[in-house]
Amino acid sequence: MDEQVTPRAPDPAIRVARLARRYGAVEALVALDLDVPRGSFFALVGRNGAGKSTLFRIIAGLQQPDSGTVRVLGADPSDRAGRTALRRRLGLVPDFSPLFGPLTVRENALILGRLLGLDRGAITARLDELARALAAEGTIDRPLDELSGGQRKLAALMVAMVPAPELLLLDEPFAGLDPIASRAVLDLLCALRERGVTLFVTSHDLALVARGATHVAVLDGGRLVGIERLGDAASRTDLDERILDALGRRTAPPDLAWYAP
Amino acid sequence: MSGAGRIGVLVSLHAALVRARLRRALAGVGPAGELAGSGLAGVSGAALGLAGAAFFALMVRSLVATLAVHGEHELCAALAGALVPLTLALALAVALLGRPPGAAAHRRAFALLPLTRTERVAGDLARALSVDLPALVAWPGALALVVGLAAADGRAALAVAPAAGALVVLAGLAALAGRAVVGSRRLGAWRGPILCGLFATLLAPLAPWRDGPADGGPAGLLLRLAVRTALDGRADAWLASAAMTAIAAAAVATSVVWLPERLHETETGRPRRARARRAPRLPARIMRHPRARAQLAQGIATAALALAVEYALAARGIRARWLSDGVFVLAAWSAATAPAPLMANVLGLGGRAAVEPLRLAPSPGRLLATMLGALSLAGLAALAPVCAWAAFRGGTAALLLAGIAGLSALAASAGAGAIASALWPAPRRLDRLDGPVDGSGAARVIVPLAQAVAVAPAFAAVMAQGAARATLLASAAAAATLVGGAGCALGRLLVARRGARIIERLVTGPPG
Repeated sequence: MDEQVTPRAPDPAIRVARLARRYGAVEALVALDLDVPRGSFFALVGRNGAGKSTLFRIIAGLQQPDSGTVRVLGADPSDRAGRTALRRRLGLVPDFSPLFGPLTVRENALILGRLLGLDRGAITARLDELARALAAEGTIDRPLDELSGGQRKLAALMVAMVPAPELLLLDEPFAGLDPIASRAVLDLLCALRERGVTLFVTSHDLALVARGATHVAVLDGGRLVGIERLGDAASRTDLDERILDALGRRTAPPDLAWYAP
Repeated sequence: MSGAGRIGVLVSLHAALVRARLRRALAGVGPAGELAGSGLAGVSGAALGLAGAAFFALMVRSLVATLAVHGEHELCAALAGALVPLTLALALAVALLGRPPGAAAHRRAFALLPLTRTERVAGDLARALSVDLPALVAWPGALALVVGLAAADGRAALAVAPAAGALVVLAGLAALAGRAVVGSRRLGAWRGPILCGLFATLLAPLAPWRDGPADGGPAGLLLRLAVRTALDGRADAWLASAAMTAIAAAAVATSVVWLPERLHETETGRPRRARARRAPRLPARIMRHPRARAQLAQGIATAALALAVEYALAARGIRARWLSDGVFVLAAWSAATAPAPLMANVLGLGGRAAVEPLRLAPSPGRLLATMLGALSLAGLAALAPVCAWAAFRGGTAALLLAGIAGLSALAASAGAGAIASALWPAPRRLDRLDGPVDGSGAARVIVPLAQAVAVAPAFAAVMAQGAARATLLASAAAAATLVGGAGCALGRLLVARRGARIIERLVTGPPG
């Protein structure tokens, strides 16, 4: 896996330059440079604690970097003045529930959609269509608090998509989903990408990443250790092996001679 | 969409949240709903809360009637003004809405909405209003009661009631606005002390008012004079000024400490945890809990208020042995019980082991043992103010008595904490104790019960020095206190989840 095969695009959806963030003695991100091209399905993978979530939060404006710059759709997400305008252009599904638990999925979508200037009819129609695509029609009129973890994840995705943002930031969108729902989400994301939407996704599911992403970047110890543009089927073959190679391979199988029940 | 339209959406968001909470209660979900698991549960929870509030109102009425015999209308108004709004607001808020669900999740979700700063503040204010709606409804009713009581015999403290009302409304609105901007619960917890401070400020310079050039003037002028007089320390107002200054300093310090954190939360939807990681020392860990600090501050402020009332009345030439003793006992009681929940939390941990068998007892026995234990411990706690009064009036022996009283209060607190802790699962962290201070449900019943019961015999003991009629009325007040406290405690117990389960088992028998 190459370290940088994507040339610096003239107008990327996301541009990260010399980004650094540390928690005490732990360096979460180290002088990170990254471009996410517009219209791409950009997957960010890596071990637990590699810095994916930190990078995600900084890009989403939920956290401040120690140094470096971030531009999302040309705006600085840490800039208070421009943050509101930026948030109207992106859909966000973080690693926590971004919706109001006592309200139904439909009520949540109505609140967000109406704040963004959509009328009730359009919001309802869009939500119904998304629910059909994800086979989640039975959940949209129930309060979030009554849904399972996977159903909440789907709800957050649907609500984030209703305003039709040009950029979707999704932190672990497949986590907690059953195989059918995972595949439905992937198909939906691929359909969005074909319509020109930019997707920035963190994930541990390498099979789904290999199937849908156009770019995959590997983060380890806060550093970018590989980035690859995925094109034809051949480039997607053995992607998981290449990622494991980039991460320094697996550990040796244990002996476990002591394990004798 | 226009700015007004967007704010309209935010208001509708909060209206939807309130509707959702009521929907849950009526559907048998949540603290009130779990009582019977039916649609009537919410109504019954509300009825219990209202009954508790009515008991408290009766208690205040009796107390006021007692004092009215002596014509102390200013004190009547002050007591009613301090007690009625607080009890009504608390009872209504707890009964009608229960605990606001998922406050942290709400903040996170709210932080992600595409809102300008102005809209964010407006939305936060709407949320504060929706959460505090019952309290807001309670204020005018309570004020009406204050004025009505003060005016009962035509010799109303007309100078006090309007100004007190204006202060309550202003302080409530200021607390709400501050709560919206700075930090919801944390500033909200300071509402009590701030109100007490304001009352102290108002009451201390009563004498200059009544005899000065502003006598009979408009409420606005009286209010301005009261604040100015209190703040510049003249006209016998030094005590209230000191209390006010200390409370204001504490409130400002709190705001300074919490403001950056709250702004961080507002912007990011995530609390800043840097300070929490430093593992502060034990006292700091206990006092870090905002409710613990608020409890302590409230106790101190109430004590200051009581002393300020006595001072103000004395400055007006109103002197009565029973009155000054009563006020002193109130102050001592407030100061003594203020740290009780904190001690209960700490010592309750140690006491848990001693009362562990309670957990294994059959449910009816456990309930009975808990109630009896709480009552007997409350009796111990009641010794504290009486002995403190003795120490105030007496010599070394009285001082010894006061020491014993202090130990009794400590033991009572520990026991109450132990019982409460036994009813509740083990705390995960010492500064996140599921004890009387910050535990939910039945555990919170114990200390308010102990406090409510403790004050009654203390007042009765002091007032017994007065006329026979006063003794009779004091006994009525004590009984009302007892019944009101027990009623409220029982109401809270019934709406609490654990209480609901206990009742359910009483009815249906143990599971299995």
